[in-house]
Amino acid sequence: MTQVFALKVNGRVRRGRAEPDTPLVWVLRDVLDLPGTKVGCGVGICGACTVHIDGAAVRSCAVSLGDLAPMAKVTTIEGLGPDEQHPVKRAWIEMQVPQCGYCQPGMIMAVAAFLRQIPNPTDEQIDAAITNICRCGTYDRIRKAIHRAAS
Amino acid sequence: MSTEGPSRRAVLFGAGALVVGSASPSMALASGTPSPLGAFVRIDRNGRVQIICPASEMGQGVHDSLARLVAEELGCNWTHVEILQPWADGAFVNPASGKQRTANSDSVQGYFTVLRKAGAAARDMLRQAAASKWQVNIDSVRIDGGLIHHSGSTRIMAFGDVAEVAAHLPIPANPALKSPDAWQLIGKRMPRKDIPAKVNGTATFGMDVKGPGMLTAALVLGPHPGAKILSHDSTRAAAMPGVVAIVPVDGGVAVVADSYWRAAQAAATVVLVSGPSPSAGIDDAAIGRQLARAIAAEESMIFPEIDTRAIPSRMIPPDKAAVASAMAGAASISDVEYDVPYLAHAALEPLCCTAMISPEGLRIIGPLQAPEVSRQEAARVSGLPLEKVHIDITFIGGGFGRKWATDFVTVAVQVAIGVPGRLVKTVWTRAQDFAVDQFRPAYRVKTRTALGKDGEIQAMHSRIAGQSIWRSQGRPQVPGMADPSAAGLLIYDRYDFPNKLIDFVEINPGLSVGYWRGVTFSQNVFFAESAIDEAAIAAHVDPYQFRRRLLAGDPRTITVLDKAAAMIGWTDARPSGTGVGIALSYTANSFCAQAAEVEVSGTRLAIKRIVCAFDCGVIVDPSSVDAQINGGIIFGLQAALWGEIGFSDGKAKAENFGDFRMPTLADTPPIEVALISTDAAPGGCGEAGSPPIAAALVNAIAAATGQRVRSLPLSRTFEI
Repeated sequence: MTQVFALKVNGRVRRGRAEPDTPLVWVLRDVLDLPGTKVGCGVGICGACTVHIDGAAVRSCAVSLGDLAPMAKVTTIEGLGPDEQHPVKRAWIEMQVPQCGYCQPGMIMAVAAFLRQIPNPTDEQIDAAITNICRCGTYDRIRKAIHRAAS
Repeated sequence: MSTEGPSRRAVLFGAGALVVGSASPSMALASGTPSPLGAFVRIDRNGRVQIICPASEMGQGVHDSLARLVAEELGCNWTHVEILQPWADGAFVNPASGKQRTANSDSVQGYFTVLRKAGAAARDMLRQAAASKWQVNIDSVRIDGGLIHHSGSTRIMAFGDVAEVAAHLPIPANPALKSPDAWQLIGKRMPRKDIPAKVNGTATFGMDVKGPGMLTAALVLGPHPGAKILSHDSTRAAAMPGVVAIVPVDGGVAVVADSYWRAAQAAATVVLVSGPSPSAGIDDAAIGRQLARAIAAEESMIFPEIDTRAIPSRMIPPDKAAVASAMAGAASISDVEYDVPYLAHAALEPLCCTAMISPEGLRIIGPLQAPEVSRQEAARVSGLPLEKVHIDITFIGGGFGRKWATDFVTVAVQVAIGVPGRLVKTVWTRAQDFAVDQFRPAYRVKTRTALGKDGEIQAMHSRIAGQSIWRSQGRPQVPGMADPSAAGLLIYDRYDFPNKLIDFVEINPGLSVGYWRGVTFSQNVFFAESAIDEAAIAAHVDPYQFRRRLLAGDPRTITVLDKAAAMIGWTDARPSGTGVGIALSYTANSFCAQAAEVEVSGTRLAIKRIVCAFDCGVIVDPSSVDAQINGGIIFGLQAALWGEIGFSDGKAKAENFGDFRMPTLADTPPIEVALISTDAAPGGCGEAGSPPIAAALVNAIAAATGQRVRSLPLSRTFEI
């Protein structure tokens, strides 16, 4: 049975209908037409689906619509901004991080939340916090971009 | 219907027709649309330049680097160029392969000349149109800074002023090309044009294709790939919310619904009855037994030595009698066996493809490496003529050779046929992506090396056992010759020693195998560079110097070898338990040397540094080459450290990344890449970085501990 939902997504109230067991990633992609958040594994390992809920990084394939409070604040890659001005996005472009790019929205969201918590991280802190998978192996530029965004 | 959402320029709608990236032929002639100047360039009245990249972009940077080849000669303002994704079209064939497909690291190599000529031809058509308008000789017209200039006066014209006229001029067959010292785009580090969209989340991958009223299909697959589906019970699924159709497909059943999650929930209720699997009962022990029998078999198929210095490469059949004689007369003989496992592609974007069949024809939109063959296959499956099948290519979220195959396109077309008139996207789960992968086969190699009393190699016989990719892919074998994807370059021709013999014994456990990044080199560099290293040690010669001596007269290989040795500090004193190893490979006309420094304490392996020296001739985009090599090393590192697909009852055991460990940021050791710039013709780099790392690591471990590891992945031997 579908439920009506209302969430605050990227600063706007968004309403729709979906089954409560629908993973948030599919609500975002299919119902709210926000395909920036990607699906890689469906079980919360790869991090491609990372969004912010109330500012915290969350793997949205592992969270159901029914788990969210009404009007929960969700930020997706499309809303991390403004546009390319967000420091993490700027650093990602300056350091030319992406190769295929599929993992990068989730990676950027994970990094953005991390830098809000730890604005000036050491490499050890980065290693421990950023566990998203990049199959193309862009890790070296990710690390450099994190330091750049932090500075 | 959502009003938010990024404008995704890859998907445009007009009058009921779905247009993606490309323009349908009728659109090109409508007024106000860009005028085509040849197959790769379109310029509209406002002078906006569109360049079509003929290859599939899957992280190699071809989207940008191939467009640069056109723009370099065209002389347009690069900042304002828009690059379009390709569609299946005979005009986009890669001269290197005669096909439109992105594989074999041959995009830059293959298109290097034809795209520059396309840009130059468009340039000359604009010049001619301007010359006619100005009534001057074409020789006095040049293009500079994105504008058309008349040398004899101050007259200037914009591209848009003459594009439409230029488009009707004949296309020059042999326009002049710039000399390399005049290049402004080729060879420069510049921002890639696809990167902002990949950072903003607006880049459209296969998984992101959308259209009005689009349906999504989730699959139910049989327990064994290759088992026939005898019947299915989908009554529950058919009654579930949003479900529109149940469609039998190859290997299973598709549940089509109005959203992915609803399709997936319904798919979970389908019950399949399948017939026996061609690989029932096959497990790792059975595969091991088949490999053991093959290694000891009497009969085998020869594979020639390949002289890669000759252009074109030439094959040198072995002299078995001479090899036998050299073995018999040798001062010492060693026999060693090596093993590597099956590997999965595991691209982060799972298999997916979108299709629609209607009276107008068949539209396919997907992350495909092989548009031409996919189009032929789609025509066959749908019964439509080729002209009625249109394929548009999206960005690919990782290909690595998996999205080259057409099996997933066939399924997507079968689903579309089940819901005619509807656009439907078929999506594989991660578990399904593993289950239907076309794995890099496991191989076992036995190498017998004969050394003379001075430690020189007098003969080497390497036998490889494993599945034939060509057989699994339905590719006809060359009579009397081993499958090159198994046996190619198992012993390097570039090492100058006599009496090389390569042979292959095929096993056939019936598992689905295919082309994995590097293909032949993904396993044979490990085998070849381990064997050479062991020969060096048996001869009591430093492994770097041993290789160097065998490469006399091979300057490009020696250069990368020397550079890698220097970068790792080959002769530096190191504490006990720490060692360095080196490995070489020659792939796709490029030369790669890698060295690794490891520290072993007990069963713990730590990788301190990896270095790489790489020569791929002329480089179009140094940043992309850096990225490909660095990323390729990490791809190879995954395989070397943890990569292993086990089988049980004919099915891959891995269901997700927890079963096929991927390196994360924390697992990445310091990696330095040195690009050696030469003016040799461009070589490939997409697959060059991953093959040598495993050998560099085992060679370093041998130096650190005296222990020779002959089996991958290293996690079988070490805690990492």
